[in-house]
This record gives sequence, C-alpha cells and structure tokens, in this order.
Amino acid sequence: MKKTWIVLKTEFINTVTRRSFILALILVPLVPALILGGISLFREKEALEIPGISSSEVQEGDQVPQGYIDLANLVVITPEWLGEELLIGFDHETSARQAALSGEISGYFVIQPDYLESGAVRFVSQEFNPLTSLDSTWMINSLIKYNLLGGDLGQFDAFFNPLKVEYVDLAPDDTETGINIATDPIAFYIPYGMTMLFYILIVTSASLMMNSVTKEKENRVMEILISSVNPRQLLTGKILGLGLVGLLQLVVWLGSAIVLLRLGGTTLQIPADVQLSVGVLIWGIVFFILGYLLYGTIMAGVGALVGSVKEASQATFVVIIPILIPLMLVGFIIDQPNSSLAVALSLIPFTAPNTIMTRMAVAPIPLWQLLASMLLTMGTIILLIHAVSGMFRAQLLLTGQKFSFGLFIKALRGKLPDIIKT
Amino acid sequence: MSTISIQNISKRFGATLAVDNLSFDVHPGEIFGLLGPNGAGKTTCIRMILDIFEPDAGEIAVLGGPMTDDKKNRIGYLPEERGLYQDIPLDRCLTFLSTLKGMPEKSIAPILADYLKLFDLYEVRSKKVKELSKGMQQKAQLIATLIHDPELLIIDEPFASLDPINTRMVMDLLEDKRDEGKAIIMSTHQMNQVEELCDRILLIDHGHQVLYGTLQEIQSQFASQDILVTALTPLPEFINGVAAVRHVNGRTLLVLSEGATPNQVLKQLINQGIEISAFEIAVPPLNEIFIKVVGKQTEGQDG
Repeated sequence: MKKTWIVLKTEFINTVTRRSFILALILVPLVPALILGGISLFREKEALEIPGISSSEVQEGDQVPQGYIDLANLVVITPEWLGEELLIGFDHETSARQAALSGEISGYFVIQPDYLESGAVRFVSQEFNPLTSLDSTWMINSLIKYNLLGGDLGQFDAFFNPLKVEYVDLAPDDTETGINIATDPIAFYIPYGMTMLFYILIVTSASLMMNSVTKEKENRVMEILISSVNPRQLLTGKILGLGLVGLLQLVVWLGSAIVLLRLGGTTLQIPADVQLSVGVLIWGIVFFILGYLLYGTIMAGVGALVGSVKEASQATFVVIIPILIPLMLVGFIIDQPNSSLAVALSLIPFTAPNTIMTRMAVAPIPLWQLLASMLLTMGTIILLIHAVSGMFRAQLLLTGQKFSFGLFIKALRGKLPDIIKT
Repeated sequence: MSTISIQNISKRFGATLAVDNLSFDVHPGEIFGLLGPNGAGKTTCIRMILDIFEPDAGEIAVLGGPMTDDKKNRIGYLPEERGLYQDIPLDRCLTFLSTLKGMPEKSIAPILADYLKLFDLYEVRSKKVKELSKGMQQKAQLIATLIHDPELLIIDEPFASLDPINTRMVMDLLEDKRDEGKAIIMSTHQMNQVEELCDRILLIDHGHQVLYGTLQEIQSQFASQDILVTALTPLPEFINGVAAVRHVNGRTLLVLSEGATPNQVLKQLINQGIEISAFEIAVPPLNEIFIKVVGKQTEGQDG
C-alpha cells in the first residue's frame, strides 16, 4: 500500500511539473478566454466608431437609432418591442438626412412607393460598413413584416415559428428535445465542445499512462522498479496517479468552460438555457473517471506489451477507435439525444463516457440510463483491470513485443504463449 | 546462515532451458562471482533470486526464507539492463528510488548528499538525468543500489563506463561492504576484477554449473606444474627437468617436463647459487580458465 502511494505520488508530481503539461493546462482555457475578450473589445471599439458620435457620448448599452421614411404607407403600427428610440420614423427624406448628418441616427431606410411590387428599400448612411450592415437591417425587416401581417403579434410569432413541436418519447420523463443546428448554432457548439473535451481528456490521460509504462521500459528503469515493487502495486499506483492528473485537467478545463460560458454568455448571446450546470461538472467527473479507468487500463496493457514509445503510439490508434465513434456521430447525438442509437452508445462502455457527456450538454438524461451506463462501464473496468494485471508481469514488462490487435487480445485473455526469451 | 541458498532451480522459456538444475549458496561477508558467457543464464538466475521470475523447479531461500516485500527493501540490485528516469532532476530520481526501497523520505536527504559527494555528483544533483554523462549516470545507479545499506547486493557489471579512479573507488566501497558483513553477488566479464574482488565463484554455461568454489580452489584445479621465478642473478641456460623457459611480465616462467617437480628445480637453482626473490607455482589466470572451460563446453555442445 505504501509503495502504491509512492508510485502514485511520483507519477502525479513528475507529470504535473512537466512544462508541456503546465502549458496545456493554462493555454487550453486561456485561448478561448482571450478570444472572448477580443470579441468584447472588438464590439466596444465598433460602437466607438459610429460616425458623428463622439466617444465620450457612448455609454454602455448605447445603440445609435436608425430612421425610416415610409413612402409605401405600409407602417401602421410600430410595436413596442422595437421602440421609438431604436427606429425613428420621418415624414420627409430631408429631415432624415439632417438627422443622419448630425449623428442623431446612424442612417435611414426609404421604403419605396412601389414596395409591394418591387420590395425596394434604399438605405442611406454616412459610410457603408459591410460588417455592420447585415446586422442593421433586422429592425426595419421586423417592422415591415409585422405590419404586413396586420400588426398582430400572435400571427407574427406563428409565422416565424410555425412549429412548436413537443417531442414525446415513450420512455417516461423523457420530454427534452435536441438542438437544431440551423436555428441554434451556438448552442450546438457547447455539446460539441463537450464531446471534444472529453475525447481529448480521456485520450491524453490514457496516453500518459501508456507513455509512462513504455518510457520505463525504454529507459530501462523497469527492472529496478519491479525488484522493489510488485507489478500490481506499480499498475495501481500509476493508474491512480495519472488519473488524478487527468482529474486536475478536467476540473480546470471544465471549470473554466463553465465560468467562460457564464461570463461570455452575453458576449456570444448564448441563450440562458444552454449554459453548463454544476451538475454537468459532477457527472463529468464521474464519467471522466470511468472513461479514464477504462482506456487507461487498456493503454497500460498496451504499454506492458510493446517495447518502445514509437510502437506504442502506433498501437494507440487501434485501441482508441471506439471512443472516436461518438465523435463521428456527434451531429446526430446532439440533434437526437434520446434516439435509440444515442441510448445504445451510452450503454456500451467503450463509447459511454463521451456519449453521455454530449447528451448531457443537450438535454437531461433519464437516471436509469446514467446508472445502467455507470454499472456496465464499471463491470468492464473490473474485468479489464483483472486482465491487464495478468499482463503486468515481469516477463512481459522486461521485453517488447510488436503490437498487433490479435496479440493484445491474446495477452488480455492470458493466452500469450510463453515464448518470451530473456 | 547463508544469505542465499539455492537448491536445484530450473527455468525454461518455451523450448529454451535457461537455467538447468543449479544449486549454490552465498554467505554474509563474501563477494560471490556469478560468471558465464553471454546467454549462460546469469540474468535469469538473478531474476529468480529477486522473485522477478518464478523458477519452474527448485527452492530459493533469500535472507532466511522465501522472498517478501519487506525483504526487497534489504536488497540492492544493479541490473545489467539499467537506466534512470531521464526527464527529472537527479536528486528527485534517486529520492524516488530510495523511497521504493522503504527509506523514510525525511532520512534520505542527508544520506543522499553524502553519496552524491562521494561519487562527485553533488554539484549536478539538480540537473536532469539526461543531461548527465554515461559515467555519471552509472555512478548514480550505484548510489540507488547502495543508498539503503542493503544486506544483499546483486550487481551486474558494476564497473561499466567507469574511469580507473572511479573503478578503484567502487572496488574499495564493495570491499568495505564485504567487511561489514554484507553478501555481494557480482556478475561481470572482467576476469581481472573477479580475481581481485571475489572470494568464491560460480561459472555457469548453457544454464548449468561448470565451476563452483573458492577462487584458489578453482585456480589450483587448473594449475599446471609450471613455476614463476623472479631471480636477482641470471638463470642458467639449462635446468634439469625444465622443458621451456618464457618471460611473462618481467618474470620467468619455467615449463616443467613430464615427471619433474618444482622442489627438484628449486633445489638445483639454490645449489647453483642463483639468488631468488620469488618462486611460486604459476596459477592460470581466470581468463584462461574461463576460455578453456567455456570453449570446451561450446565444443561439446556443437559436437
């Protein structure tokens, strides 16, 4: 037990003090934070450069209104939610032009008399900015649409959101819907980011495990180690030590993601209901531990089998294929988080951690599925640890075999022929 | 009581019989040479002693019985296939290896500092292991083997990569350990070092015992009737009973003819008034014995 603790502590300290690890730990959350910061700065700067308005006059939340002249006599009602202060109606173009020149408005739209036939609208402003012009038409657009629909808010809403579908699954308590990428692109990227985050976390932590074993073989420290510690203590110490490293990474990265989404939510205009909850962090820790134990144990087995770091990295690709499946199907899982396929992937231990976390970022998952997934994954981990402990014996640790999937399965089943010469 | 007692151990890897019915003892206060050509089964034998491999047959008693986790802390092992963690500072690496040998972390620093000074590594203790020379790494490995003051030392080629000064220093250190009553198993191909250090040897080839005993017993077993003489006056051209005269390292080797005895030759030389400062039976160097025995074995295997 004491030696397991020594191995655990050393693995943890040796990994977290590595420069590359510290850089990755800091840079991964820092880069999106800087991007978010950059976006806010850019927006602020953009607001400052509105012609005719001095920077001292701009305060937070200020938006320069636009004007319009309705030559087609379309506008009967201006809805409250557009507000007079945002869209100002002018009777004549001369007064609108003066207002624009004085900086009272940023520009004005002229709804042409033949609008109903031609759809022609002219926009006049001091300076044309292609980046902001797309942004600036939504108010006049809404005003015209609203009036074309007779000024009825209910009709207006029904026209733009004709389908308010309630997806009802036959399973109880399973009423949530997925995210439609077309209508909700930013909300789509949160579960997508979660899939990527979990993929990176599990694969990097499990790879750390394999590297640790193969490096000891390559550096020829292994024989000194197994003359002091028994292989089982070595395996346990490594799994736990590197698991803690992964957990540290998870808490820092996922914690930063939650904080960034909260802070940056307004910058990116992310709807409040797609924010990550603390519950996600807790389940994230549980499923990270499960995913790491599963893949970390497999990687430890690969490390025990192969002879060099180079050979090990080739082998990694073969054993991580299952975790790539949820990554390839991420669009589908996000769109239909409660489909049979998504549920099946949540119950297969090799795809479960990633799939569960992706689904969780989209919609709540029925508790029975979470528990079943946990139990199935835990069962598989117990079987794997037992198999890999069998591989973690001196004879294998002191030699290096060329990796093949068949040989690996044979070794896991304890059927490796005893032909390894020393 | 023997520190190690081995009875009829065998180990097979597939079709290869690596160790074949081997028995020997190692006592406290001796340096025991485990010798043999490459692939003779020395490393397999050591790994069985250390419980890294289990023997297929036979019994091994280490420090009074079967190997336990506690006993591992009382053994220092310098394997042939050795290395250190390359990406961490030297002192951290050695501290880790010392804690694995059961040393309390707080007690390590002063002992480690003494060893680092003794091996002239104190100044580079904070450098990463990969920045050290091969010789420095070899010395660091010796520290890892010795730091916990083990009762049993098993060292494979301990002088590899060491310069003559460090070789001498390590030899003295090993002799001190022997004098303290530690048992030392040394495996090496450097026969001159075996002659200088070892009290007893075991020579194995193809997994089985070829020679076993004290160095003197074995050398006398292979000694001829030849005589090494150092004379202060020139030796006569003709000596009765001497078939040939050779010069070896400033001394004269007299090869006796069939039936002649060293006593007869000594008597003749004294009678002729030759001033003799040394007269001894020529002991064959271990190197020659090794080549003779292993060569014969190989011929036997080939035939």
